[in-house]
Amino acid sequence: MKAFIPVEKNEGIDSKLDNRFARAGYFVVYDMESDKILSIEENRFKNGAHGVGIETGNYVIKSGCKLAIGPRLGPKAENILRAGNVEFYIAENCTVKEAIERYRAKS
Amino acid sequence: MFIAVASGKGGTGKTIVSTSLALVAKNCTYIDLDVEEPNGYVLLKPEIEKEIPFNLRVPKIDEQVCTFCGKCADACVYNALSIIPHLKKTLFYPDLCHSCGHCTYVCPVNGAIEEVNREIGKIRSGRSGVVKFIEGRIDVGVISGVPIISWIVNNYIDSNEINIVDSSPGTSCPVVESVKKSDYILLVTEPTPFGLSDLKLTVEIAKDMGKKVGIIVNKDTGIKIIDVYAKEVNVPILLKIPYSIEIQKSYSKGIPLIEAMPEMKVKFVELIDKILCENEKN
Ligand code: SF4
Ligand code: SF4
Repeated sequence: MKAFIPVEKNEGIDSKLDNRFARAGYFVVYDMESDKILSIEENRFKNGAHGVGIETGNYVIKSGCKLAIGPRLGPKAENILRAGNVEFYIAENCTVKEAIERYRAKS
Repeated sequence: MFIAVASGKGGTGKTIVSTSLALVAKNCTYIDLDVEEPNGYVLLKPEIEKEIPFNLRVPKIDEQVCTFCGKCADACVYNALSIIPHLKKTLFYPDLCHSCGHCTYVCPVNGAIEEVNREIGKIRSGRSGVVKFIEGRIDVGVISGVPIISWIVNNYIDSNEINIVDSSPGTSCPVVESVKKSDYILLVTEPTPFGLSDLKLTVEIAKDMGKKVGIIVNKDTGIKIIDVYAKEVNVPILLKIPYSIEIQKSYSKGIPLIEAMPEMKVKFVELIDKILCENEKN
């Protein structure tokens, strides 16, 4: 399973999670099976004027991720992820590594 | 001529002012563009001759035919569509749609997407004596009144006649849309610090748009807070309506101000003459 994680800067596995989902600096796609970062891409939508949450939601769906980890989402983006059966786990103030650990540790 | 009556917030007396102006201007058109809550009809009591739905063209996807290629969502710059290929689902957010037609245009599959009507409001028209009455109203739950406002402004205003427009309150897109073609903006305010701060915003917008502006002080208590500011920015105060329980009472009974207080009628006649006269000079 792939996880979608919004981060502030590209600092690999130690990148800090961004506290804004759709307007985050970078998006990390993480492979939970091989425990590896598959890609870190700059967020192209962050300065958009309309429906940035939806644009990001659409992007998550396209990325094929079935899990998203990050700060709380806006209602529209949340709606897309729900419609796309993407699991959502809230994590804030931590690194990618810590976020994955927290997700795995949850009961 | 197009006179817009506006205010930085609701409840300042915009309706009292615009309906009074319409009643003294006589052969004019009164247009209520306070589309979220039009209430000019309460005072003008028009006979409604026509009520038509106001529709926008929006896409409708047939999920039986759609291949979920996502081209339509990619083409939408307003992000009004989501396509979820693995679950064969589509989502549409009507409030974000600007009816541009791009999605339908780019779809490669015949019959997968078509444009349909989405009713967002109603336009009513009729007469109140010699005053022509037009009203735009958006349905409950519709977020933006801008499309209906701009439609009415572009299609119902005859610049050879006197048009009195009761604008949307506030300082955002709807008010800009409803005053942008006006020749004169009357800003209604109250002599309170809140009234003043809203007034400042609207005066700035009006000046940025290069409009002629005049101020009307409603619920005047003699406090000079607006006078000081008006002088500073060199905008005339055209009229003061005294604070009075009588006015509030007659308003709640649906009696127009100029009928409830004949002395105000004289003032409104002077006001409309002044504005029309100034307009002719240009
Ligand atoms: S472009 Fe046409 S076929 Fe492709 S997802 Fe949109 S509606 Fe379906
Ligand atoms: S009509 Fe334009 S704004 Fe509306 S969904 Fe289609 S592309 Fe987007």
